[in-house]
Amino acid sequence: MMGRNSVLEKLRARARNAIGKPAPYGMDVDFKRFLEYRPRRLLSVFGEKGRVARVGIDLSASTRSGYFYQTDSRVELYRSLVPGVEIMPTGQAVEEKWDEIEDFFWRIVPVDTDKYTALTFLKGVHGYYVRVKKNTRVRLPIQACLLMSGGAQLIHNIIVLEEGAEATLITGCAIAPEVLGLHVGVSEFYVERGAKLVFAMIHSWNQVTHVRPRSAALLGDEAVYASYYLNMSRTRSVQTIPRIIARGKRSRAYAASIILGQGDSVYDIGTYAILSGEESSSELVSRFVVKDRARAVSRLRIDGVASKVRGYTECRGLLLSDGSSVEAIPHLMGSNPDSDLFHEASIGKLREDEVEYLMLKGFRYEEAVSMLVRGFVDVELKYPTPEVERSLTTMLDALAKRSV
Amino acid sequence: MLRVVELAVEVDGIRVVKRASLEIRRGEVILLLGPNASGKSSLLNAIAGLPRFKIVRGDVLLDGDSIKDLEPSERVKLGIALAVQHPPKLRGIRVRRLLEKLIAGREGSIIRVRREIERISKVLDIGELLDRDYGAGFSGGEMKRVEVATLLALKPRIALVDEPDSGVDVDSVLLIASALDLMVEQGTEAILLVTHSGFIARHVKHDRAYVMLDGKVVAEGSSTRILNLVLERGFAAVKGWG
Repeated sequence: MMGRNSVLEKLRARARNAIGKPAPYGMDVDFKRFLEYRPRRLLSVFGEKGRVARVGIDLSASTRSGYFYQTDSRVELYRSLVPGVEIMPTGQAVEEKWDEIEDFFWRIVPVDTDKYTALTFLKGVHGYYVRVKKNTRVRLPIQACLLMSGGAQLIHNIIVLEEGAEATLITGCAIAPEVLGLHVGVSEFYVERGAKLVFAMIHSWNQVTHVRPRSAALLGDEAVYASYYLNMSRTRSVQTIPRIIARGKRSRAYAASIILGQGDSVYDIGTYAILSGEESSSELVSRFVVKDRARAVSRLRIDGVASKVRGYTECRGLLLSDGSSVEAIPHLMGSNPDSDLFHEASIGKLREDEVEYLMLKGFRYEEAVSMLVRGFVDVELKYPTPEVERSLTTMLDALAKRSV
Repeated sequence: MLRVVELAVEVDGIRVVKRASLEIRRGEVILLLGPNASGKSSLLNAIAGLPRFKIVRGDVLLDGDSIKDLEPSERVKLGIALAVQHPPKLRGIRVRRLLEKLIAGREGSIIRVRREIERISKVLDIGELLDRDYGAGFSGGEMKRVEVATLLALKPRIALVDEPDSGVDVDSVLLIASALDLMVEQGTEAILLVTHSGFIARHVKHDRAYVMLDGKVVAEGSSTRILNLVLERGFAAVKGWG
């Protein structure tokens, strides 16, 4: 095992080499003005109860198993409320628990992936480390809130579910209105043998914020990983393709991305599942509702590498305005004759007969549209606990209302 | 109660109802008969207020007041509801959810709403459809029963029912007929029932009938007499009759 300083030095060298490396997709962002930006007003999570509630954060501890609150690069509060769950800032874990964290530190998201991962490493370690101990089953969600007053927020999260553990993690990210923002969130998820993780990420940005999540999940034998991404805010741009490496035998992955694109927002959002575990499976779905001049690209990719794998992608786009657009790019690769992979994709507008039908049942035009949008985004909620199901349902209801 | 006066209706500039007058009185079940494409559904859609069915002449009066400029939702509030001939599929909208929303418009309590849904589902035998997407994979009979369920949920003063017997099995027709009877019992004051086969009319008490041919209401009178005449000699036999 290499010493911490040696590892950090090697990572630093790789990061420096990648600091000018653009991402293959999405608009390129110049860091400088975000790094130099100084917001006039500094927010705090507890001073923004309404704002954080809109991204699924419930500040009453009674509904959660643990929490981690960070504003900009300042950790406000963190605590585990149940035995078997460890929560702390990633930087602290690097300092105090290097032996424990080393195997999970920049292992499945390479530090030189692109300029955003490189910058995140080079600007110091922020974000949270969550570890759920072996066979610990956490009933209530763990929640993390990442709030921005403006400028650049560079986060590195590490989430480890040991063998047989079960947990749900809700991460809500938000920013003050009308301030410049660049949010880079690197998240590494390690779901070990027989463990189950449900991860919900809810974003609320503003029209001058760029967002670059960089995530990966590694699944052990019979592990289950379900991810939900919701964004219903105007956002200057979001570009992300989280990877799910289903390396374990009979591991299962489910990922749903749901966005309401408004204004001039540009989204390039995908998921990439690598089914390298025998009999592993993945289901990737996206529902993109766009209006105004919003543009969205959905990239759903599955590589079926091992034997007897099953994969399914489903991308649906709904255009609510003439100037908006959705591009669906499904991508399947099978290298094993007994893999079973297929995809569905569709893009269209609301059907007039459906709107009229609901109007005949007594709904006003706006109500009818909202109901149909709610139906459109009604993806199957797989593996959620009742609390997450309630939270996601509330968010999807809000998305439908905002669509009109 | 409801009077349609010399109505002409256009869809995309094409006149689909040329001249239609009829009256629906309290306590009546009226049949509106006519062959395919005679304008029956267009007339109902215009009465219900769909903007695509543009009234270019005449009026629709409810209790003496014109409602022709009202939105469909406002007409529903006044008690006019339509069960359409071909309901669309609504992806992601469960039957139960839609019924809940319709009932919640008049019942505040969640318990009452749930109780009402149970009652409606028993009457129309749609219990197994409640948690499915609206119309997705439904048979013709199932679709019609669910459509009539929306009327029971709305409890309108005047129910406009478009071809509840087309493409439907006998058992479904019987269930729909009993649901229409129940609507009257629970306060619906009048029903305008469109049929071109007359099949549903065998199972529902009715009072008067109108006949539409080529976009015009051409006959009015005793529903039994008109129905018998139509079933024996066809629609042409009633032109100018009554």
